[in-house]
Amino acid sequence: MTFALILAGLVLVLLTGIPVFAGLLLFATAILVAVEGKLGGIGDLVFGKLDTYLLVSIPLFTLMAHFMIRGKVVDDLFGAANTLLRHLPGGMGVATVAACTVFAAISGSSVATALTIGSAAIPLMIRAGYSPRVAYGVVGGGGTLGILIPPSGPMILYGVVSDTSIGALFVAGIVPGLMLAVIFAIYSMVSARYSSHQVKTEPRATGREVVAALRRSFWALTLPVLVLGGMYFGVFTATEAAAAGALGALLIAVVVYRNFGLKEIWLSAIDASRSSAMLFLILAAAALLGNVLTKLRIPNQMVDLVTQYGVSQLGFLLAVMLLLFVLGMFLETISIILITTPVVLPVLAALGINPIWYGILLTINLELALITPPVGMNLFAIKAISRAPIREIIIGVAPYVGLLMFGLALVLMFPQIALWLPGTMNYK
Amino acid sequence: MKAFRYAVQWIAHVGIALAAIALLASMALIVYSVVMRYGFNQPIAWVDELVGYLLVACVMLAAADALREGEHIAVDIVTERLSARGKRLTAVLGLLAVAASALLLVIEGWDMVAFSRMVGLLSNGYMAVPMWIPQALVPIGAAALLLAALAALGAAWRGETPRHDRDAMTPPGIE
Repeated sequence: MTFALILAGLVLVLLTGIPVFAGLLLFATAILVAVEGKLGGIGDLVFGKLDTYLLVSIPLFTLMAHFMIRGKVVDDLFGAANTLLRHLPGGMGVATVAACTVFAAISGSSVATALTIGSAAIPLMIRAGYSPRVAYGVVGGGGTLGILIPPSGPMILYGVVSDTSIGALFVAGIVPGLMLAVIFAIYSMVSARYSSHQVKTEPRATGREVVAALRRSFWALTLPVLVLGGMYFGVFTATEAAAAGALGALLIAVVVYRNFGLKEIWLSAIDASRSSAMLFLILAAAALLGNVLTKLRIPNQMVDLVTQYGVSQLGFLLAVMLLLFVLGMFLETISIILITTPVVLPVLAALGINPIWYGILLTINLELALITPPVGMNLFAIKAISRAPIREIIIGVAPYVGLLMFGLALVLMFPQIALWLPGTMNYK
Repeated sequence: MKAFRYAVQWIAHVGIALAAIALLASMALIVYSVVMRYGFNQPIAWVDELVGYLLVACVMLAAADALREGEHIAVDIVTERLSARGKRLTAVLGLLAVAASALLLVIEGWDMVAFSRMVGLLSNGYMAVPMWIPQALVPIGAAALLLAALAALGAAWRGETPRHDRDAMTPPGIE
């Protein structure tokens, strides 16, 4: 019960609109002082959390995506996908999903995916006669794949907090990510077919157009192979893959696309540093709250509660998914990972739940968090691109909430969807 | 007051520049260590430790600039519905909270540094540097953040709306 009260108090504090890191830090400090009667150790905790080699992969993956975006390497991803897929019913929707899938393999962020692909796809879809709601929906939904298809910022955070192999988590995200992409694409085709709002399909691309499209997107496809292949075959750790990917993106932008100079490198590094500052301050503050929760013995109480009532694996997971869904309506993903994971982990161990499987379930829940109102970062990203009323965007994205829940249920029922591929690598 | 604002602006600029250098240096160092390990069979033992410190530098030194650019994530569903007066009030509340958090990190960070210096703590990695040197990044960065929050409070006091020159299309962090 203490845990529920603390979560509710936290949501209330953050709803006042104060920056999340400050809200978390002051809230946790207040509880700490109330429980222990004194301060202390906060400096060490903050320094210790930040001084973590594995976490460097987050700003480095961000840097890689910035290099690709500023170097215009990914500019034509949507155009290329549309050339290949335009003859299908709802072809532009399918192309959006495909472009999001490829971009998700370059970027660890869903919001970056929705922004980058959406700013190309939304105006073109509306001009081609698609209903704006369809365009908002497919960008909002497809964009969420950014954090499920590796690399993934949230998976790195979860991996560090839960001491789970980041490489294994990344590999485990591939099959569920592609599965959801296929579900989204099928939905786009079926809904276009039965929509009252008919858009005529374009003729199939000629052989020459296909070759041109593949040539334009070739370089954007090389990096995921380098990054994921390197980790899958155990050549790189996650941090090394991120550094090599960032340098690779830089080389492609400078050597192949030739529109990249020192100024662009500098601006990319500044952007990546700024967003890391924001993210890692939240991380340090959430770590303090996690520490306070442990001092209050809340993780142990959870284990006791679960064992006392003989809760089954499935029952526990369903309860956690419900909690994550509700939190996801109000909080952003970083805080959700950092506050719930320390409490959930000991129960996972007690019930024998595979932490990699749980990591994938958590990530799909976070995808939902990105598109469920009132706080959903992808909804805000689409609003920034389209300047549409948020209500239109929420209605457009609603089917994808259902599709993500369907995907979540599949992974919950068939853990092998997530666990088969990492099982084929030697990740220990 | 104007001089103070310029000074804060300058500190934030220097901080973000050092943070960007720390990030680029991490990239280069990690790739260098991979090349040395595979290419020359000579693993570089100190890179992992140094990269950890560079991350602390990147985060703490960029914090003040991130505040100036309005980058710190906040939940604004309630506040965006308020009147202009209410918005100003919640903006001030947010800045006060940032200032209080930064002050807390300055004090607690300073305690950590003072303790490490007193007992002569060395890092337990390969570099064996005096721990207070990387640890000092926490109070230094927090002090810069405190100054940036005070400057923004001063601006809000005079009724200036916080500037929002952040391009809405800049891809944010990792969400």
